[in-house]
Amino acid sequence: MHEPGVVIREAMESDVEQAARLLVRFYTFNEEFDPAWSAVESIEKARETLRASLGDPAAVVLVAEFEGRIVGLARAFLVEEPLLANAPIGVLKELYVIPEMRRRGIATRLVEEMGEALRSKGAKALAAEFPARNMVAESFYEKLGFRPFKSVYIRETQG
Amino acid sequence: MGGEAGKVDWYKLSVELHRFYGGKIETIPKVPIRRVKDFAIWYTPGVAEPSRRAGKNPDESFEYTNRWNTIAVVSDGTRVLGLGDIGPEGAYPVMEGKALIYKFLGGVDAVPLVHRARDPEKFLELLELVEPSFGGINLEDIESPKCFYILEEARKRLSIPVWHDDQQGTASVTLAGLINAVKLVGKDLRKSRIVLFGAGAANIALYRLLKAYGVPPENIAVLDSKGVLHPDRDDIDRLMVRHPWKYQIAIETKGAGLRPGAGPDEALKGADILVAASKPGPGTIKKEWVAQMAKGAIVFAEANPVPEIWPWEAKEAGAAIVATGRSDLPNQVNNSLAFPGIFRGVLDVRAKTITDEMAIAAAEEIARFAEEKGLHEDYIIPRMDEWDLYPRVAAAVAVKAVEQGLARRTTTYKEELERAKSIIDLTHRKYMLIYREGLIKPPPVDYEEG
Repeated sequence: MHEPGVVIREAMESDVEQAARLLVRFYTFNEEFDPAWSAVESIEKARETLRASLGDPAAVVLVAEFEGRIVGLARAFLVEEPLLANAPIGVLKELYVIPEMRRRGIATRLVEEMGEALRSKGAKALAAEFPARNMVAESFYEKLGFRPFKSVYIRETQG
Repeated sequence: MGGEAGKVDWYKLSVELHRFYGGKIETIPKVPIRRVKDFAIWYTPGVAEPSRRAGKNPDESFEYTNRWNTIAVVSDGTRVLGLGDIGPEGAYPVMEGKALIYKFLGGVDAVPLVHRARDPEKFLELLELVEPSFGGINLEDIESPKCFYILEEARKRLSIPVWHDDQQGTASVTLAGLINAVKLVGKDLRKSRIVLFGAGAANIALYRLLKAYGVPPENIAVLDSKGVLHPDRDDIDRLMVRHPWKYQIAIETKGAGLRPGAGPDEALKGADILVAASKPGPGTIKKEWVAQMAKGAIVFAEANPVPEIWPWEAKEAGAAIVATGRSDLPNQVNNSLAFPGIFRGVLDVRAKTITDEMAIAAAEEIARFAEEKGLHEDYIIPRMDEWDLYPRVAAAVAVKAVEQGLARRTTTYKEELERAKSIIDLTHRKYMLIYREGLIKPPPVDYEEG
């Protein structure tokens, strides 16, 4: 399903203000599944890291724009992994679509176009990170042909 | 809280009388038992044949047993009245009371079924397991948001009607009241700006019913303790995971044009209708807020025992019509106006479910009944003692079930009206006979009438 009027494009400096809010939202959303995902809720930090990514050749930041408003965000990084056969891998670190624009295929388009952008940068595979218990993300990526690839276990360091 | 409704100490009286009578309902045979030999019909050996047939064709259990007229009143006791999570035993007296009203007003045999299956999946499993005993299920006093999931799922999994009275019952009667209230102030419900204050079982169900009635979602602002449900609210993603019902309302209503974080003071500015189903007042709803509402404002303050705002306060603030949940004040939004007739109707046509359209049909019939008697600001909904109402609700619901193709038996309004009347009338006559004979003792302690 294609929502008419929604444009997917690379983020620009002028998007940072709105995109930063979505970036923070991605983390507060995922906090629902594991408190370890709780964001340092600083919009300032989000702006900083977005700006850094805009000038980073190993990063891709895409936004979905609808009627002049940023309604979706995706950010990925190219990871070298020199010993892996399918490297370099494009790792999708954040993906977020605002609630009222969900269920219109925008996230799917963000992922597909991200795949294209990363392929042109040399990525052989596309990976996505999300909390282990986020079933919504799990079924979303599986529908797009992703499979479980690696597990990351975590514990807090002991004082 | 004792003696909230006037000078009578209802709590004390109720404890003494519950103890004196040892509960409120019992089972009595309804077939002739003339001599011991009759048991060969009602029990062995005769009963083996109805048993064999019902075993072979489960639908015939509706023919040979009282299943056709029996529902379960089911609760896990996780949210009993305003008392909170007091467990199944705590819920029991309430469920018995419900059963009493079902029988007395609707001629429906209702069985209290309080249980320990608090886990929603276990709760649903329990309903599936006991389904063969009943013609319907009335869910009661279950905490939110669990109650939404259980109702939704149970409606899918069971092939008998499942009703959650705290959602659908309250919503149906509220809708009936609103239909008449807007008539009195000369407004159109479908064009009114509506504020639902409190996002619990009653108002979430009311939202759905209003939508089904044709009110555009953008006209409805739904508020919980954090303000209006809005797609830009900070906790919106949390709602998607934890409370998809609130989430859906936020998305569909788009926050009714308010800013994210708007509270009742902002939401009520220029609003036509306020339905509060939240925390007991007084002072939960402020006079200043009501004063900001549009001309001809309608205020339903449904919390018990004390409404969110007293009717006289709301009127002083400019409200044209006020309803509450209390029997000692005018315009009582009382579930009992709906559920006995609704189940009478669905049982009589063996409906598979109770749809929102059937609930709306009940609401419209309740509204019509009051309208025929003559509406005024203190009479927008019938009173509970207007006995002619219940068969009419049954008839309206039964006909809607047939129309929607959800009834296993066909009927007409007139036919169901007569059937419902005769079933309810027979119940009253049997009861009054027993009572007049002195077989039910007069209460040893009492309140003063009038």
